[in-house]
Amino acid sequence: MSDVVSSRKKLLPAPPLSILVALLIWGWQTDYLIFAIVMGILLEAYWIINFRINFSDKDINQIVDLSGLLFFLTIVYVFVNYGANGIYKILELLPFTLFLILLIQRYSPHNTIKTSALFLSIRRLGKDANDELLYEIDISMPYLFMCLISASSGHKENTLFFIACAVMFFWIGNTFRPKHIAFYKWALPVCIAFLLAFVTQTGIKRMHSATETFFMSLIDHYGWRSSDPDRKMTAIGQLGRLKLSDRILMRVHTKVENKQPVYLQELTYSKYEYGIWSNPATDFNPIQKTSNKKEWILNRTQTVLKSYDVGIYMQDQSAITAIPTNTQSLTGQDLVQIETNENGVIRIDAREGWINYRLKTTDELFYDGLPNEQDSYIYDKYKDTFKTLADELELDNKTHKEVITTIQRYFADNFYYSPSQNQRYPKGKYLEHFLFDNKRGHCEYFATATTLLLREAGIPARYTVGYVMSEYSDWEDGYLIRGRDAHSWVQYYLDGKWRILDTTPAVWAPMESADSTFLEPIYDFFSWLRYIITSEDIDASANDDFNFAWLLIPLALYLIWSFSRKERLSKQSIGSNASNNVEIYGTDSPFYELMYILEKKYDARRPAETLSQWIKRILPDANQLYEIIALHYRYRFSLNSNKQTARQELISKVNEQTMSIN
Amino acid sequence: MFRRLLFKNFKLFYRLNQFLKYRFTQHGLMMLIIMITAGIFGIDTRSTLSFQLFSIAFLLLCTAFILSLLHRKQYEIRRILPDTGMVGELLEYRCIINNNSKQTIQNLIIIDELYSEFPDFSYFAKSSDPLDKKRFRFDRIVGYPRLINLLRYKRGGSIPSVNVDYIASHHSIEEKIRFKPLRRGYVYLNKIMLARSEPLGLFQSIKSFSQKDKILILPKLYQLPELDMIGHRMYLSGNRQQVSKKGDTQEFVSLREYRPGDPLRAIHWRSYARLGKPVVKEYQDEYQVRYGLILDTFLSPGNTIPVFEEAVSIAASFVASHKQQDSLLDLMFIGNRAYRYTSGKGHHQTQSILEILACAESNSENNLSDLFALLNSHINECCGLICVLLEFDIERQTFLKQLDQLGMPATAFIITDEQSADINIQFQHISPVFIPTDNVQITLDQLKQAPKVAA
Repeated sequence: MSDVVSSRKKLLPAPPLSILVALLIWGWQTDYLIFAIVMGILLEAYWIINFRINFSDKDINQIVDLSGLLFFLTIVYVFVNYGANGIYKILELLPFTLFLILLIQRYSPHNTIKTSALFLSIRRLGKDANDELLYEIDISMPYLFMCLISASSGHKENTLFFIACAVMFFWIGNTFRPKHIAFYKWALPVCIAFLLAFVTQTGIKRMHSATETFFMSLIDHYGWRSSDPDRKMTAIGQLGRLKLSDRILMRVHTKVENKQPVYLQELTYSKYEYGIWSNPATDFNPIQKTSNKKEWILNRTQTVLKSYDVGIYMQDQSAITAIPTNTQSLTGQDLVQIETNENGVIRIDAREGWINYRLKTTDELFYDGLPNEQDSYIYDKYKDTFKTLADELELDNKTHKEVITTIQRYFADNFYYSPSQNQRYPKGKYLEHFLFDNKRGHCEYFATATTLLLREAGIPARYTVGYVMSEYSDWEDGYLIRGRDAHSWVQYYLDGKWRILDTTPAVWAPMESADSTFLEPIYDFFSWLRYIITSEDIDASANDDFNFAWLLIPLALYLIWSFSRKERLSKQSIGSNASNNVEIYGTDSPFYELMYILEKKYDARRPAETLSQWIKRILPDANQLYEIIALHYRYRFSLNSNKQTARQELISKVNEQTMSIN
Repeated sequence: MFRRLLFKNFKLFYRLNQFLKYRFTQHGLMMLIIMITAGIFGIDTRSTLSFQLFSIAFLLLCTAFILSLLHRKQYEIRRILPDTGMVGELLEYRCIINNNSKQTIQNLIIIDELYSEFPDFSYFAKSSDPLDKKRFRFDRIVGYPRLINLLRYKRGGSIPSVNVDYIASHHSIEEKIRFKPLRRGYVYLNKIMLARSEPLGLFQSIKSFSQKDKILILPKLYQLPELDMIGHRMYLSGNRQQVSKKGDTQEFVSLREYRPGDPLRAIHWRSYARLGKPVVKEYQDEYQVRYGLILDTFLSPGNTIPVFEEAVSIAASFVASHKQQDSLLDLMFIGNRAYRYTSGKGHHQTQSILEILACAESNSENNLSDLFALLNSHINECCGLICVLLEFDIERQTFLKQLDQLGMPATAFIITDEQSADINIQFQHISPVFIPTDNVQITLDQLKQAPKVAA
């Protein structure tokens, strides 16, 4: 094993204007162009502005810590608002969060930052950190490339972005071309690499599309649960235990106590074949909202039974939502548009994240569509099964109401709820085995079997999926609807109305919740926190929005004030030994200016000649100069004296002396 | 189990890290990071355009790698090393590079390396690092920074790479390499490499030369004060053999009558002539000052390696400052057996004793009784003792009490991690001096002001 110390060439600084260009590309791609111009000018003005601010290590550490804190808050804020997709938003905001660090580097005397400022673990080691860990770096070039990666999150112009990036790589790459390599010898392979990169990036995109298509087809065939209004894949026939998520999807607050579980319908389906429920393709039509109000009336019935304040998590800006079948109206500032289709499915358009709306129910169903042919359809493969069962239950000789009661009693008396399916049967035989052999299954078995049995008995029926609201949280003072509350039941048409029939044994809900993870309270707490922070009051007007960006103004003012109090150094005076000026306190003694004047006017100090000897030689009677020398020594070398006071005193005396000499 | 698994991953990670350090330039590493970052964000080509940056960085690195294969040159290198170095002092050696090709060579980097075996898990698990106190709990638990420090220490330091700008065709140049040894003992040099960047400045082609060498690193030395060594002269049998010069150096005392067996050259002929019977010159018996230097090597589990290193340095400082013509100095310590080496007046040279100290190792087993036995067997030959102890625990206190009972004047230098220590025990013949590890030189300097410090 061996070790190498990296005394190799350090990262070069980004060439003039390159940071500005990189920021402009970022601004162009992400719509932050104004910010990009301002930030770019501030960073590039470094080449023109002639002074530097003498930041101490502590100042730089504090600024880096502040940037770290801003970065952390950005991550929290973005994840709370955008969920998992927030990673791209964070990527987009990176140039903002790291801007301060580069700014302080640019206007510090050395134009570098110590690794101890960037890494707390090195900072903690202090003087014990070895040279391999503690050194100074220039972060301008990493910042430049970070801007380009951030710009890629904007996703605006494919080819133009590639060209812009290639130009930047060419420009920056030329700065670290070895000196002995001729430009053409370097440029030729780089251009070939760019051409190949263009082909490669096209290939990557196509490969991604092909892979995605392949996996989507797999998911489409074998996945479970989706909110496609036209097609529903059930878990009928799947082996193993059915496990649903504990994640909270909706929060419902109501002043009226619900003694019975409330069914929130999401989708209904009419055609069943081999584990898949489907509908003919349907279009959604917008519902007109009430003028001057963000209210959408679904049911013209005036009687209002209950009012619910619903919070729902929107993964996307448009989503099918679950609502009670007797909903009268929806109201809320977060809602943008509400659409429905001919099956009574409700789709809402709103912003992403947690939104709130108010839902009122009445005593009538909002959907009053007549049953169609599909609602009585039984696939040929299942006809014999359900005919046999209908005969066994003697449904032919009963009225429709008696049929409903018989079916309800039949499932209640003879079947058990089980989330597991452990036996493998031939395709299409699962329902038969559920009905005649093992007589246990989950809600999809019950709902599918009931739907088809009702149809066999001549009652139009639909397979319905949605959620059942039953879990009350004392902490949140409302109902919680989780992924595991997803349920399926049946809607049947009788006496001119659609009605609900749920034949799944009531034990399903406790069984599902018994399986919850012990971490559930923690998840719930964070979910609640996110809901509290991001959701807005239903009754709040749109003008009440508070932009948290305003909080940055006092911060910016503080930084400007803080920077303005720092000592300024001219760029020329910094020179190559700038680090010593800061490292060794006292080397900036004002006496050196006076010494320079005296050397010019009289005679230069000889090698190994002390200051006193020199003064004695050139100005034997200048007693005040001896005082200045004593003061200078005190400022330069004494550890105990007050440096600032000594400096002030020294400045005034040096000025006096300079005046008298001139 | 988990730590063992982590340790295996450290080995892989360390090797990967070394590969990246060797093969990539700083800008190449930056390009690699861009490629990885853009690759991660670019997985979903619908969400970002990072895959475009990934493809550019990837193709540039591929091109750089291919170009690095094309630029092979003929050159060779050899080291010219000194015999010894010293801990904490810059050690300089030379490298001669021959360019055997018909073309000039530019921008060459000499990468030399100190070598040590990768520690095994048990060694790593037992090791401790004083810097762990300053590290984050995560770093302490995971232990990777400790491993890196341990490796660095085992190797004895890190050699910075050196840039060579230009070597003409069929010419050779000489470059100086300097590094600061971190520990005493032998440091081993294995292969030396010449790296050369390809035209894009991202990747390095490496030619390595196997040259096994070693350098002895002596312990760090402190400036010792002029200690007023109280003690007593004593007669040493066989002293004549230990005297480097003969004749004049023997001091005349008186004349006496001849006794059989007296050498003829001792006869004082004038007195013989005057008295008529043989009279011989009598010389003063040889008295010498002989000090014992006791080095404690028992490093108890709670103690740290820096304490032992400081103890060795202080012992070495006594050896180095010992004036050989004035007195004898016996270095005594327990290693894998009891060791006693004498320096001065025709015995070992200072350099030899320093070399012995350079290779002295600490012992985790209590060997203080062996040390006392060694000391006891030679106590009659010494007129004063200097003890360098690693702690002031019960065992050492007992050791010093035993020493005190022997009545031998001694100074005990007790090396400690702490700034101050309370001495509750009173010794009759021993003066204890506490030396904090982070303030050794200052503490030693302060001894100058104390009136009679040493034994």
